[in-house]
Amino acid sequence: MRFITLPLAWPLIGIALTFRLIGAFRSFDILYAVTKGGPGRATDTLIIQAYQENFSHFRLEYGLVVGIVMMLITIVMCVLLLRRVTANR
Amino acid sequence: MTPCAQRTLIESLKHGAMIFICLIAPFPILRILTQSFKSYFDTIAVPPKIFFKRVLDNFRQVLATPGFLSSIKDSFIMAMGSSPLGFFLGTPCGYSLARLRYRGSNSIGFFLLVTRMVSPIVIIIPLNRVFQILGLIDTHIGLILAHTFINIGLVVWMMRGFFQDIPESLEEAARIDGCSNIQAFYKIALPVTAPGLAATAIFCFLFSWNELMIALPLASLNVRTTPVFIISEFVGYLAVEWGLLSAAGILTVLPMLIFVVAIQKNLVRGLTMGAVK
Repeated sequence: MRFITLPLAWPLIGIALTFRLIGAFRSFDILYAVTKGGPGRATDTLIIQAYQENFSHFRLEYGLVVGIVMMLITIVMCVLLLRRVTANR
Repeated sequence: MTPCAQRTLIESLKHGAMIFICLIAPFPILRILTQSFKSYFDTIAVPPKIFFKRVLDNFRQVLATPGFLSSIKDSFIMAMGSSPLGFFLGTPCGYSLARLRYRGSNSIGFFLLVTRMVSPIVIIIPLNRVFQILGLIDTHIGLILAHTFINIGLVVWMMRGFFQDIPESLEEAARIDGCSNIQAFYKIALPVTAPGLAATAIFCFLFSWNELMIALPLASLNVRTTPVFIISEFVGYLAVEWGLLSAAGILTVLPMLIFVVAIQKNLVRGLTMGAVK
């Protein structure tokens, strides 16, 4: 297990972790349904904040900037993910 | 301890951990199921009651809420509209990415992956503005287009995997027998990947059915998908109607649950078929 299975499974575990990381990074619906970033701004994530600023306070530029930053971060994570997947094949 | 006894111990520990996980995993569904049968004061009781008087009031009230049934209809239209559309556009693309080598094919695949991976907020803010100008906000067509946009990435990547799985010699044989490239695609490659097609279709459908974030700013009065409806109707400013919320949730999940359980075997086969290279 420790010397055979885990080393062989590491690349796959890495892929799964990256996948989950991206998934958690972009999660919105549960957060929005449960707290909407409240009470106050205690449970604000980037995406909730962008949504609120854009659609409740109508600060379009803020939402756009957050969006672009998030896109860049996601692209970096995607590159890492793809490199792993292709290296694995 | 003898090695044999040690091994039994390790095995039983492993099984214990698995059973533990299996018990935890369905807990949210169990919770929402029990909540939906409670009366209002039982739903907010602390600590939660295990034994309670079962009532059907919640379901009755949810079904009587104006707009609930029409929101289910809207969700259905959305899913039925966007998954076939995503399919027609995405499958040929996935095929070409799997079979043909052309300039930029990798970049195209990467771009489509990013549309899937990136947070919907990136897409939704500009899309909202564009739809306002085009007058597509709060219409079925607008929402179908938005969902299709996200679905295409999924379709392309899943179908690419399925197409890579089937041996290329199948199509070569077809070509020798006189098929054109396109004929080889829809006469040979498509039928062979049928389980994969089914799995992808179900994923698209589920995505459209569950999607909240894209639907939220694009749908308001005429069109309300079920998640949007539930969130706006049963989560109030001062109080959350837990009983109604849970009942509505159960009613939304139920059709999908039955659907997925019914075709589970196909789904799993399709999934593993794509995963094992």
